[in-house]
Amino acid sequence: MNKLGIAAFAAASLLASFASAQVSELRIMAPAGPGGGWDQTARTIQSTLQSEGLVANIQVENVAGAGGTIGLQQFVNRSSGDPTATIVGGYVMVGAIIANDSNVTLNDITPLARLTGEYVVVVAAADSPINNADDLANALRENIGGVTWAGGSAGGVDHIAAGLFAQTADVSPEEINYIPYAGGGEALAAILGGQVTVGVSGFSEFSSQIEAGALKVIGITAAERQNYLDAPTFAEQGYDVDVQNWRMIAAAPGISDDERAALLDVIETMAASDTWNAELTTKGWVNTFLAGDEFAAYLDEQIIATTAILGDLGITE
Amino acid sequence: MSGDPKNKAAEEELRLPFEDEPAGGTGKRDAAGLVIAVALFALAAVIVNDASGYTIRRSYARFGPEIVPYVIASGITILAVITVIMAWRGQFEARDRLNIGGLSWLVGGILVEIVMLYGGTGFIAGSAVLFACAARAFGQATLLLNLAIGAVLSTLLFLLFRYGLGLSLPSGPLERAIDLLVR
Amino acid sequence: MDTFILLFDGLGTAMQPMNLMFALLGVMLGTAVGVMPGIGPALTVALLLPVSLSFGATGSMIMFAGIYYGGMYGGAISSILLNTPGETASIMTALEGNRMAKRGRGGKALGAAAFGSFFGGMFATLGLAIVAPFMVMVALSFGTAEYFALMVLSFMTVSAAFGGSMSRGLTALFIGLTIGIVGTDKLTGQVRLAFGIPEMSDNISIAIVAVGLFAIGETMYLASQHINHKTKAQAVSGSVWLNWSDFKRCIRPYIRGTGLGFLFGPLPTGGAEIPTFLSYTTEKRLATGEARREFDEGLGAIEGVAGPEAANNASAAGTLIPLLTLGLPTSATAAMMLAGFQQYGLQPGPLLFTNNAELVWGLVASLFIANLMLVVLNVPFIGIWVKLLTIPRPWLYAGILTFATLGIVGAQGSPFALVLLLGFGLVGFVMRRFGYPLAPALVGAILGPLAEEQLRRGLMINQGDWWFLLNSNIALTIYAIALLSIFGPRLWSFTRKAIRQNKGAHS
Repeated sequence: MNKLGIAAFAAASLLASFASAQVSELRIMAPAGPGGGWDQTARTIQSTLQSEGLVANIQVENVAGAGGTIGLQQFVNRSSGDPTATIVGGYVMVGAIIANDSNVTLNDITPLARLTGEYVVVVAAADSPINNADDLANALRENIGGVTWAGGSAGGVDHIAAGLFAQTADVSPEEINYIPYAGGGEALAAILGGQVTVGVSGFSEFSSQIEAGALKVIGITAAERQNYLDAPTFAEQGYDVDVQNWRMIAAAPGISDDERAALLDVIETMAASDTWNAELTTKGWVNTFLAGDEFAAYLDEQIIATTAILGDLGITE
Repeated sequence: MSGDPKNKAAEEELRLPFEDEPAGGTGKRDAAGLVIAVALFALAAVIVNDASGYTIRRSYARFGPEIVPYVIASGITILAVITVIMAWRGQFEARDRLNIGGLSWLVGGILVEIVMLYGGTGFIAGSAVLFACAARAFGQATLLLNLAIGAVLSTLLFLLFRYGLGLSLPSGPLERAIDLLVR
Repeated sequence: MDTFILLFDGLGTAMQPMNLMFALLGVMLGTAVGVMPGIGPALTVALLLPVSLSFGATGSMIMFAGIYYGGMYGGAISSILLNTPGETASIMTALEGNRMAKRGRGGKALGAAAFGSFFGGMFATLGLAIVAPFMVMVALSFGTAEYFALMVLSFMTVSAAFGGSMSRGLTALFIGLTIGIVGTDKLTGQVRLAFGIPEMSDNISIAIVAVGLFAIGETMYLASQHINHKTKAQAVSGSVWLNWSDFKRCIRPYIRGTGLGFLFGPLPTGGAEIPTFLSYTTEKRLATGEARREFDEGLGAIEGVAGPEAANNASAAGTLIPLLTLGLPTSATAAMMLAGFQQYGLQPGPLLFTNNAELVWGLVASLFIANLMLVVLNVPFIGIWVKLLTIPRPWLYAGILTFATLGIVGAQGSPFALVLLLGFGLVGFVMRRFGYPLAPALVGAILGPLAEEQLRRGLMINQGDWWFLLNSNIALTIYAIALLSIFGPRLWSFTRKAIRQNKGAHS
């Protein structure tokens, strides 16, 4: 787009901003390096808002480090009361704040909406003797250390899902033999090679192996059956494990209710747009949109539940 | 580097991997070498001190996060002792006299940029100052000219990064002004 | 041979003028961005991916391959000319490459790097097309015991980069190991050596360590000398171009480097580091005659550039095997490629070759084209790149510092990165001044955490039983190679000497 175009566009949107769900300027902080999940989320929001004509001028800023807590800290310190400042974040942040004992928390920002989510699946190699959640629970009760779990980082969403399953199977989450890998992709080799008992990670990490029949699904951590996966949820099998690795967008602390409402309006329009949903499909993300007060309540619940399970896992005291 | 290269190569082939090369040093006691040894001892102490404070977690590995640091600290301690011996026997090669002025301009330039970035003056000003100081460190005393070249270079780099790649660099008043202009 | 028919179809598509343009554009952009220290091919692709998206699936895939290879080569340029390896793949290139550049042979080093990249990329991509399924089985049969053995092998061979003094080499290695433990322990979440600084609770980026130790340390060292830097430096002595005798010296390192890169690329050990280390140490061990002298006296041996550069491009192609067949990204670069594929709706995995055969072979073909374009575009420019060295020294060094800080701050987004950079610069300066080699420190920082992780993962899987380390034939074979690589040459020369003496006694 040329400069003239941008200028004309900015002027037009400035005029129109009084009319409908439009904001003239927005800054999105991605509290992670370029290329990662939060960065991609921020840049997808940027391109959607621009192509839908909802916001004229949007910039993405990356501040990497410590599970997003460095970016969060900077965001709270610098952007307080600024209605054009937003930050992308997610479930990982909840754990990182607790584990790092961060002095800034998610209570210090103004939550807007949960945008996407990914459920966690527990899988086993196709020739594994474990076929369902009951088999896994029995194996755990028999020899908890002999069941090895390969998944993402310690205290991350995969570890939490494994711990919650252990709880519902009446074994101590702290005693599970959970082996962290850099990500579900790296764990994949260990699972396919039969070096570990089960793998636990986000669905997209395993989807192509599941489709090819190299991995079988023991369960997915969704409350209801998902149309993209022909496998039972843990809840169906009597193990109430409901976890999703969600991503959200939030605004700065200290903004007025009107400013918050205006931002929410823009985000809601974006989440309902075809452009946004088409982007999510190509990226393999699931739209689990939840906005406003409902999301704020959900966030509080998540913080309490995560604090409890991280303690049970022995990550925090 | 003197001596017959062929002989040297032959010697190296015959040496076992754990032997040190015959000293090519000065033969005089080396205070700076002792300082390095002290620094290594201190590093080992810091590692041990850090590792002793880790939370004990139960794990099936029976190999916690503290073991590797302890191993590394032991290795560093042994190497520090060897460094003491080397310094005492004067096995470090002779060094040129230090150009303190040049080094100070360079280190000072980086320090000033760090302070400027934390102070919010932005990337362009900070790295222009760094450029000027660094060029001064290498004997280019024309500070104003250096500053001008540095400013042009860092402005170009800023434009490339900000608008070409969409990466954010620390912003100050100058960067915000450019942002307004580009809009 | 369906494979080759599909590959030729792919090549036909990629050869269309419009697509050649995209390849050219990609290589140019990638090289330009990749030259900046700290910004390697992975980040280059991440940053430029959105640019390529507007050209349709085929066009963007070709451009993407171009950006990637361009980024790789850009890293080699800054390593050779400026001694600033901004990423792990080109650390070994900097060692001999920069020595060559200092003696006016920078053009030859760049040429050796460009052809090495071409050679490694070409043959490894061809290998990818033929033996992908077999290599996947090898990668899957590797567990923690085998990986740990591989790390031991790398550690044992790293002594080749020690230079004259064993104790100083080991000290450098241990400094690197210390740097490697800073941050959050992946297996327990324990934060180590961060001193309560949040920025240090992540593992320190190798880019910061490399740029700090090499680029910043080196400029500090030069500034600390009483030399008149304003005297014109000799940028080129003799021909810039590779001649036939240079080329002959490169061929074997190319072949060995390609082999190493292709073998190690598919293993989930982090990408190009291990094969480039091994390639460098192999060349250094095998060097004879002129090359031996150049290695030993620090004059810069072309073999030391040729081998690692072929190895890193070959390993990049090798990385594609687990990525395409398993959806398993084994390096940062591969992870970026995965993101790239997803943009085109490609889901890497076992079904990819059957479901999206056309796209896969289109990708392989575009790798060939991008590789070719790299040589076509960059070889004529070598003369211009080398001219960089004729910029008056004060401004050249000031410029290197500006580039280095920009790359690091831009990628990390925090001024704290500069504090670390200054710290590592000072460490690098002291090491340089007292004759400590720098490469072992980087090797330690990269391999240390990998080795620790694999060992502890293995112990977790085997519930604390150490015997698993020896309970594998592959691991035992690797240990044997490690021992042989250390004692082999000495044993060989010892027996040769004994035989000679024996003969002497008889005659």
